This record gives sequence, structure tokens and C-alpha cells, in this order.
Amino acid sequence: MEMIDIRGLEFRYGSALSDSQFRLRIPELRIQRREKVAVIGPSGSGKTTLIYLVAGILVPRLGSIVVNGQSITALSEKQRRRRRLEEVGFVFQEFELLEYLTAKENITLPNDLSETLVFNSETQARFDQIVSDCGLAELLHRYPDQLSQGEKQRVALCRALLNDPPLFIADEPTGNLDSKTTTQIMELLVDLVTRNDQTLLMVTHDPSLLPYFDRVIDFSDFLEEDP
Amino acid sequence: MNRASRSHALPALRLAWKHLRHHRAQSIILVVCIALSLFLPVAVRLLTFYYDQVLTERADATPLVIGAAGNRFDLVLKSIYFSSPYDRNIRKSDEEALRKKDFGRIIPLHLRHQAQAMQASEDAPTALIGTSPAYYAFRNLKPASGRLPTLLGEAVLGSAAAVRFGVGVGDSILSTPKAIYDLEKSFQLKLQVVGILQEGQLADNRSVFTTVKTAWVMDGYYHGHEGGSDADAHVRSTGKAVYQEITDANRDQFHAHAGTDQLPLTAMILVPHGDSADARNVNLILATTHVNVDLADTHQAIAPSEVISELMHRIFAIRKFFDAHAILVGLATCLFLFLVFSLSFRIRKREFETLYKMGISKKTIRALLGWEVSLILIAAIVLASGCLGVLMLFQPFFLRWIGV
Repeated sequence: MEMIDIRGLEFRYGSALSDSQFRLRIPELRIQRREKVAVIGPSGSGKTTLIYLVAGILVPRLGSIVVNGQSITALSEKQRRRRRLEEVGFVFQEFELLEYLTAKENITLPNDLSETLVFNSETQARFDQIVSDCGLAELLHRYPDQLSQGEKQRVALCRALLNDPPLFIADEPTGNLDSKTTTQIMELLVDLVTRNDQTLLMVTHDPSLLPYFDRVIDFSDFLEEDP
Repeated sequence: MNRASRSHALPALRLAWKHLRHHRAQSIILVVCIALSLFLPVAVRLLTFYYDQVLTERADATPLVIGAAGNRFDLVLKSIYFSSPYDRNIRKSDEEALRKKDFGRIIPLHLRHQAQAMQASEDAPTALIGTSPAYYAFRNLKPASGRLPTLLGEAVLGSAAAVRFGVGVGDSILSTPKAIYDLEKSFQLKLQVVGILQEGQLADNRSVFTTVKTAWVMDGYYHGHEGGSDADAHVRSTGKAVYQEITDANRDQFHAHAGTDQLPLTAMILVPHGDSADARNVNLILATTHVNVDLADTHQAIAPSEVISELMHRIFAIRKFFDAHAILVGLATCLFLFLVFSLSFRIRKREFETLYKMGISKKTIRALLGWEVSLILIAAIVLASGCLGVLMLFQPFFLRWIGV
């Protein structure tokens, strides 16, 4: 069964009056549940646009995107946002931790700010488990500027995994890490995603990471630029 | 998935608080800037209001002040608020002349001296006023302890002066010498404290009162020395020791070398008899013409309320500039805040985008920003209110500080 089913998708940046426009066309793309997929391609080929479309941050002009059985294009902005909060775990290249929150507060931030998610005993058990898995138990009281790059990304991983989302999206999560830390983070990420039966969709520029994935999608194939 | 429905306001408030707490230095600077811009104009208004109240209350309670011709502001400020010693003299005979007219009660004031504590102190000396018992009755001043001064060398202290000098009944204080190197002119007299006054108006609370004759002793017109009542005017230069303290043992030996008619007073307060039309008429004539009856052109009679009203009018005119200044400062502060917050939000744009990407509602993000601004403003208002509270609590101190 598919986690992501994209058909006849067309997305365009820029107005009709601008000199150049970016256009992303994906005739068909299916990603199975528990599949680990890497998205590669040159800069500007639409990799990040794809994950934003799948997450419901952007909406396509044409075509349909069905994620976890739910058509993204049929949802309201509020429904897409809620779905993102509850069903999508996001990890970014720059970690995007809030500097004024401790590691623990950063991990629980979506629950703290959400109108719907609560932090109950089940969440607490899950929190303890992933914090332990990520080796952060002793670092929870630290602020981001007191953490190494690898520790920051592990905090970001915990934040994305806390609510057990079926879909895990990562936008170049190892882009700012050295090779040793990259290996550690990738092993941790793949291990956690596999153990939690999650689907992984990850954008990367690093060919050395491709062996971690079940499938690789090259976005050079989808790139189209108007004259 | 654990779902519930709850308000975004409280979590946003918690996050806003954490942000401000983490950047506490910036937050404190912002709070202080806003608090100052709120506090200062209100404080200026409050102090001028108190200033007006204190000055007007006392001026209104003082029907007429008569003194030597000259600056009327100087005469009023020094003779009813005891702001500093006053050296322009009238004579005791003027008091007698006016008394014969029977316009009302005459209260003599001798304002040439100041008093200080026995032990050396860096505190400024306080006003030492020579007057008659009529003054205490006129100002409704009663001793809280001890009694009023009646004999030569006795003094009574205002409540604030007693606290400041740390003295009580039976202790002593010193007059401040006017000319340290010329004992002929004035010398330092040890005064015995015979009473502490109940709390009254500010000017009385912080002053020391004695008899007019004791003030003349400090002037050097009255003195006592070994050998009794020798009428030698150069007694000090003849080597006879001059008493520096008036006691029961030597009080009788004090004497003047000239008739008291010619001895100086600084001013007189005239309290017209009753509230009759005649009394008011005398008051009006003296006040509006500045010419007193039978006291020649060398004198002036002033209704303090008019002078103070004029003074306050000028102060309020000046306050308009302060008000305009406050408006401009307020406007500049608003612009400054707008700039600070808009820059801060621009810098944090990525943070808000991340929150949105994670699924946090824009309403929650707006609430977060709203709370941050609100918390800063609330803290500034609380701080400004606290400062105003302190200002009101220590209002007498601040009034004294600005010279009331």
C-alpha cells in the first residue's frame, strides 16, 4: 500500500510576467509504506518543493497528491497544517532548533504549541525511549548553543519522532555535519525509522548516503524550465 | 495519536516568556526604555502638582508678608518657605509702627541664620528662624514633646529637623556662623533644644525656631560676657570672654548695646483681624500697590498667594515644554520599539517559518509575538508604576531634593 501517491502533478514558482519560471512536473510517483526513499538532483531541480508539496506546505496547480490515504489537495489549509503536525515528522538541514529553549523543550515544542497534541504518559514513555535511543538523556537541559552539530540534529530527530508520525521527511539533514557524524546520524535515523515502521523521504546531495535507502529518485528527470 | 482541543494563548505565552527570559539583557533594556518614557512625563506632572499644592497651600495660608523692598519672589520664598537665609532687613521699629495701625496680628521673622548638629556633618545646615510665639499659633504648630522656646538661647525643632539632627529635648544644636573670621559680626551659639514640634507643613518640619532676641545674639547685637552688663561695644576685642552658650547662670548677663527698635528683622507676617471687608481691603491695598502704610518706599507688602500664583504660572508655562518634550520622546520611543520589534521579527522569520512547517498555526505564532510585545509593555508599565509609587511614597524627599 502506498504512503505517497502523486499523479499528474504540476507546480510552478514565479508569475506569468516574470522572465523565468520554475516548473515542476511529476507525471506519476508512488512511495510504499516503510519505504526509505532518497531524492537527489541538482540544486533548483525541485527536491525541496516536492517535500513541501507532500507535507502540504505548498499546493500544486494541477494533479493530485495522496498521502497516507488522504488527498492533500482536497484539504483546507488548517487541515493540512494539522495533518503535518500529527502525521509528518520534519528534519531540516539547519536543525532549526529554537535557541531559547533547552533540548527537552525543543523536543516537546510541537506538543507544547499544538492545539490538538497532548503530552500524556504515552508520549512521556515515547519521549524517554527516543531520548535514550538518541543518547540525549544527559543533554536535555542544555541549550542549542551548548550542543555539538550532531547533538543538535539528534534533538531535531527526537522532535520529529516524538508523535510517532507515519511519514518522516528530511531535507538534507546531514548537510551541515562532518562525515563521521553524518554516518552516526544516518544509522540512527534509518534504525529509528525502520523500528517505527515509518516511511522516509529524504533529500540529499551526498551520494555516499544512497546505500541507506531502498530507492533513489533523481529529480533531474522532472526539471523543466520555460524559455 | 493523543489529541485534544485547547487554546493557543497559554502555550504561546509560555514560549514568549522563555524567549524574553533567554534574552534577558535585551528585554530589560527595552522594559527600562519604555518605563522611563512612561514614568518621566508623569513624574514631572506629579511633582509639579505636589510642588504647586505645597507652595499654594502655604501661600494661601499667609495673608501678607512685609519686608524690605526688592525681589518679591525672594522675599516670599525665603520668608514663608525658608528656602535660604535672607539678608535684606527691616527694623524692629517697623513692626511697632505697623502694630500701632492695628491692621491685625504681626508676626516678626528673623531669617538670617542657619542651624546645624553639634557633631560635624556634611549635611547642609537648616533654616534657623527667630520669631515670636504668635508664629506657632498662626501655623498651628504645637510641641510633640517639650515646650516652645521662651527664653534666650532656647530652640524648638521641626519634626524632620529633629530626625535629621538626631536630637531630642534637652540636647543642643549649634547656629552656623555667618562669618567665621569675624566674631564681631556673628558667632556660633549653642542652643538648647526645649521642644520638638508636631508634624506640620514641610517648611516648618525641616526648620529650627528660636526667639528673635536669640537671633540677635547670633547677630552679635545681644551678648553676654564676663563682667556683666558692660556697655562697651568692643567688648570682644578687649579680651573679655564672650559666652558661646546661654545658660540659666549667664542668661541675665546678656544685653544689647543699642535700643532694640533699630535691631533687624527680615520680614513680618500680617494676619488681618477677622475676615471683615476692612481687613480684606487692607490686605488688597497692601498687596496690589506694594506700598505699605507709613513704612516708606523702602518696604514692600506682598500677598504670597499672588506671587506663588505667578510663579506657578511660569512653571506651568515651562511644563508645556516638558510636555512637548515628553510627547516627542514618547513618539521616538514608539518608533524605536517598532524598529526593534520589526528587526527582531525579521531576524526570527526563519524560526516562525519552521514552526509553521512543523504544523503550528499562524494564529499561535501571532499570539507568540503578541505576548512578547505585551509582556514587555506590561513589565514596563509595572516598572513605571513602581517608580511612581516610590515617588509618591517619598514625595517629601523628592520635593526637598528639588528645593521645595
